[in-house]
Amino acid sequence: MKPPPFDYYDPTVLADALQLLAEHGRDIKILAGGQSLLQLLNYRLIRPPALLDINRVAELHLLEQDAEGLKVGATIRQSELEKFPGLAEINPLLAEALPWIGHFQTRNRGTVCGSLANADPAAELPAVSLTLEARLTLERNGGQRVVSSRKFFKAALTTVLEPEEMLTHVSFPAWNYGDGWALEQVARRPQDFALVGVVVLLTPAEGACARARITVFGTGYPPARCEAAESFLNGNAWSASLLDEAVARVRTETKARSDAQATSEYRRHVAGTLAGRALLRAAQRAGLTREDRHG
Amino acid sequence: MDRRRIQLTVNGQEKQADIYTRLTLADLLRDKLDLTGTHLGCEHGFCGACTVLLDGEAVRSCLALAVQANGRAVTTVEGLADGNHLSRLQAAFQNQNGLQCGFCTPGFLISATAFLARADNTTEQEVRKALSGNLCRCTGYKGIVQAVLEASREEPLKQEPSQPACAGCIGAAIDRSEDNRLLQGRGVYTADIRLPGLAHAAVLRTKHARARIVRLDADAARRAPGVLALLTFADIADIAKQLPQVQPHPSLNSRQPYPLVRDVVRYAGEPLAIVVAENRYLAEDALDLIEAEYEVLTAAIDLESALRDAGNRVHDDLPDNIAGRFGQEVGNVEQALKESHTVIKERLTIGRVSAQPMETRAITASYEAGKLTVWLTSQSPHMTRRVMAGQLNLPLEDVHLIAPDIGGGFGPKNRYYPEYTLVPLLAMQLGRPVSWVEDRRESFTATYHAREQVHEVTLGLAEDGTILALRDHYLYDQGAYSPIGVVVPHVTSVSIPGPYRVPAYEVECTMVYTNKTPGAPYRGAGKPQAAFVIERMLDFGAQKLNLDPVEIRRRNLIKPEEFPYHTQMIDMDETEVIYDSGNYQECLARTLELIGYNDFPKEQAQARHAQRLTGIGVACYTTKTGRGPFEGARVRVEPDGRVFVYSGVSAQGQGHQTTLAQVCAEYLGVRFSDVSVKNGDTSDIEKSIGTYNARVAVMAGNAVAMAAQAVREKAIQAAAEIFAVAPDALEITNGVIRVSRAPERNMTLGQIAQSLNGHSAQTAPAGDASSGLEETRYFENNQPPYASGTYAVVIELDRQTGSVQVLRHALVHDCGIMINPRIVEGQIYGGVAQGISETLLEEFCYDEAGVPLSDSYKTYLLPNAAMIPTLMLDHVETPSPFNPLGVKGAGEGGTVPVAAAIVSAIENALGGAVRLRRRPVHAVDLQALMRAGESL
Ligand SMILES: Cc1cc2nc3c(=O)[nH]c(=O)nc-3n(C[C@@H](O)[C@H](O)[C@H](O)COP(=O)(O)OP(=O)(O)OC[C@H]3O[C@@H](n4cnc5c(N)ncnc54)[C@H](O)[C@@H]3O)c2cc1C
Ligand code: FES
Ligand code: FES
Repeated sequence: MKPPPFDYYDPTVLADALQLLAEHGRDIKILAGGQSLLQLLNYRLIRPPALLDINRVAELHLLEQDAEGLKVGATIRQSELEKFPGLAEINPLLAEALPWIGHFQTRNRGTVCGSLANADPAAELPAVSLTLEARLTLERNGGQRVVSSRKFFKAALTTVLEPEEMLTHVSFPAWNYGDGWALEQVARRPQDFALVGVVVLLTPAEGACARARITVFGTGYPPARCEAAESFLNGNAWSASLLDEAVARVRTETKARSDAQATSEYRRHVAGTLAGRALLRAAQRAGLTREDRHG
Repeated sequence: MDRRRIQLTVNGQEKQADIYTRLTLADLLRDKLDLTGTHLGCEHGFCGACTVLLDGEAVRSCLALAVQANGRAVTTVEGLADGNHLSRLQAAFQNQNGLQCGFCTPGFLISATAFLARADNTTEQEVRKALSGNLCRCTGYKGIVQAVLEASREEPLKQEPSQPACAGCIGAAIDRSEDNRLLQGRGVYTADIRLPGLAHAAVLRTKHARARIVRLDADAARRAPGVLALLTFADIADIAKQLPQVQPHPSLNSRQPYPLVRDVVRYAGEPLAIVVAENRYLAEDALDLIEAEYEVLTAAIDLESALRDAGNRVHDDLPDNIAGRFGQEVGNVEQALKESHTVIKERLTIGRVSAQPMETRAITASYEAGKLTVWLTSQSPHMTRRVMAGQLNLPLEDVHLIAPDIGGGFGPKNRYYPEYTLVPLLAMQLGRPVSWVEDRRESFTATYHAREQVHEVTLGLAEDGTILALRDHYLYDQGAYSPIGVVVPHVTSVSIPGPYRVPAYEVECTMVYTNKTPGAPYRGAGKPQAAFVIERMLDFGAQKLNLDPVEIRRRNLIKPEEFPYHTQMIDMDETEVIYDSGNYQECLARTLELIGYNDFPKEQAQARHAQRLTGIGVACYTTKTGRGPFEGARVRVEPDGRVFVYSGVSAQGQGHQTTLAQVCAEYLGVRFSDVSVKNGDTSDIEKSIGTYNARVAVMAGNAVAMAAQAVREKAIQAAAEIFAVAPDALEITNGVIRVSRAPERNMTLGQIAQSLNGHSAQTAPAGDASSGLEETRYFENNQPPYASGTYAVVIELDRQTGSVQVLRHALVHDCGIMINPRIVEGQIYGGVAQGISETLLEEFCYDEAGVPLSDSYKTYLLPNAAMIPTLMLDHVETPSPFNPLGVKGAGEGGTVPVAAAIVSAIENALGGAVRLRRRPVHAVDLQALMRAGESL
């Protein structure tokens, strides 16, 4: 299990990196944290002629918080963001989600942007970015575009990134204080990839749920927002029966695949269960309820 | 290809290296810088064995490139100790038995070092979570977690325990002598052997379960850069022999493979070709160039279909795919069933698993001056050497086999595999040493599997729950070949009655060939299946008769006064199965106390009130240990007083060097610290059987006792002549032999050794001078001892997700006299963890075409520290009357009862509303079951 041969480039300037991407197109792969890519290389499941190691590009090592929100550059490790001072206030949902990713050793290498670009259906960060409606900046030699996370994920392990493009940073909008949040997931073993998971963000207004965001991940498809359940909750006063109906809607509208680890029925049902649990926790945090048990 | 020169600091020292840019950081450390303490357990980020500090942060060195460490600082396990002074964490690992085979240890030490640097006032839960990215297959994590907790506290570590004097050495919980070396990354596993000119092999395996090879074109591969040799079957056709059947049996239709596939592939993973190159990277490049064309044939995958519609023949000349059939009857089952008050018929299935020691198999062979030297991850060096010599047409004397440190075995490393012929052959042909290290992906199909069985069981009970009759007809999935004959299913056949009185018993086993990886023994070898069957049936019986599950067991357990208990069953060697000794009731009672059985209904009701489903399960077991026929030992005293013990048995983490030294110290009368054990080397002793079936303490232990006793008698005899006293006027303590009534008249054993060795200033030495102060003894025994015990577990079941969590568990175990209780406990913790894992996580599955669905630790899950709570463990010691030491084996017992108890606990959580007839039980299946019975 040794990587196949490849040419190796490790530029220090973004322009050079983008130039290399433009020149090599499909024949070059970006190497960020390597926690997914090097697995594939060791298994020889992919054989890119060249690797573009972006770890030495200074411009990409960017982690900034301002009024607009939080900007995370392409070489920011998951652990760096996890340890970012005040993260629990700046963005409590990210703070809750990051420790779920693999193990502290893999988070010491794996990057935030790499996880988004990799678009593993079972990954937490794509679901979180979809919930937070993050915006992703994709750059190419001589151009850039900003894509919403709703548009970014196309299929399992597939995004709108073109071969000559790089995700240079992701921007998470400023946190709306007062919002409730939660991430729930089920794995076959503690700290393993999710069989299915749910991310919730609730904005309260006078005892009602002004705006709900519910994202299901781990279904075999890209993470998806549960629009039927969201619109049902939006504007309604919080109650146990409201929650039950939202859960039922999540189950109906979730699409899921079967694989060796779980069936699609399992994933759909448990997506509902987890949505119920996540909504309840989020509602508590948003001050909408004091109940502490659902499903 | 890109080359770079890099510079980095490793363990405080400046290093430079010329590297290819595709070299991983792990291989830089291991191969270029010779720091082999960093281990490769999976090469895809999941096991953590390769963890190192990069600029102070713990990272996987298999998922980083060497070039990325340019200009940075790396710390490996070799850099943790201060000289020879263990770090606080390392010392805590030694104190707490945080290691067995030591293969995972460097990764744990590095991870925990990084964790402790940040964590103050940590909790057990935090430690378990932090360690969840490191896998250990031996310890069940108990010692590791305790070690990290101990290291995290302010208090000074436990003091070095004083070495016990010779008397009392047996039974002392001494620190293991293996640990210091392993904790510093100085273990030498097969993949760590470095020889001048060492070349590296890689094996091409098929993806098909059944196919005829139409074309195999390796020309391009032979010409690839760095390639030294390449073999397909065509290249070895004139010398190739089928692997021999080492365990013949009259009822077996033995089928064995050639070292490389000749014409028909019979399981996915079977080796097609082997290539040797200057390094493993180049060898794998060459594999990519081999072109194979197949005529794909329909495979026999499902066990029952393979038997029922045997159109898909695994072996052309076996029309029914039957590999063997055997059985026996004790009493009259038909009659007893007629007389039964209640008869229960059930079908129970047991899934397939892979043993997955953290070190994969590996072999290094060197051929020089007509002598072959082989380092191998072998559980049975002597037996393997014999087969190897036969395969290679070499005289036995010309083959020297060494089992160095081994990173866990659990059974499959006891077998002979095709690579063990191919790699030495290549070394002989090339005149260069050759190494092959199985990679993790290969390990899933190339290393033999275990467990798969389907049972049709009938149990007849009297009204009070007394067992009257038991009938079991079952199928065993043999896979494509029969490497160890009938052993596993036969063990099952005589283990099903377990610790219970079964007056009428009928058993019949049919072994079936399928197009899957061959089956072979794995920890417990047939006994976990047997325990699952009888324990499930008793639970069903209790339900039917409205009895408490514990009560039905209590009524049927063999009583202490019934030993030795004659089961009337006939074992594989044609002797009767006789249980030597035990106190099954005591084990049961103490387990129930530990787990809080009587108070559990209250606890369960409270939990239910809070909408939590909890359940309890109990399983009793016996387990045959210490299989014969013999094991040997040689004990020698040197003039300087050092004592050497030589034994053929290799160790895979069990701490044989410690326990055998304890036995020697006690029987010879020397200090533990004066004894060194050398084991697993065929040049040290003429004959040996090997390490399996929990037999080392029993067989090698008693052989060491006998040899040590013989040396002692020889010394006494010599001293009696020297001091001119009767032998019984002498005594030996701590290496000094003295006249009891005149203690000033004394000599050390070393002085006696010197005198017996003879020197020129001496007339004829006193005593028997043959071979100096040294004796070899073989312990022969065909009366194996039976260990026993009870396991109980409380689980919580998530009614919506089907997830099962072990909340607490307890085991009381009787393995007779314990030579070293800490080592025994380590074996149990590890065995129980494997049991939990094969109940809740593991199953090796194929798709319908026979393509394996597991090829990584992402698809085949091993348990981590966050899911195995600390076991409550206690012992009952009923010495075995069948061997002088009174010991029974401890290696397998932990695994045997676990699945049965967990499954029972899940049923209990569901209030008996479902019946579980299969193991493993996965969340997905449980959830489906619960949803089917919506009322739950
Ligand atoms: C044991 C283990 C457990 C894990 N568990 C989890 C888990 O529970 N949840 C989870 O989400 N992940 C998990 N992961 C994967 C996670 O660690 C990876 O970090 C992540 O998936 C990829 O990030 P990376 O920086 O390592 O990217 P890389 O592996 O370097 O790259 C991944 C892919 O993204 C592309 N890419 C990377 N960065 C960019 C960019 N800036 N622009 C364009 N393309 C880019 C690469 O070309 C490649 O195709 C686990 C990994 C391991 C080894
Ligand atoms: S070898 Fe690197 S994590 Fe297993
Ligand atoms: S001691 Fe952990 S794998 Fe052996």
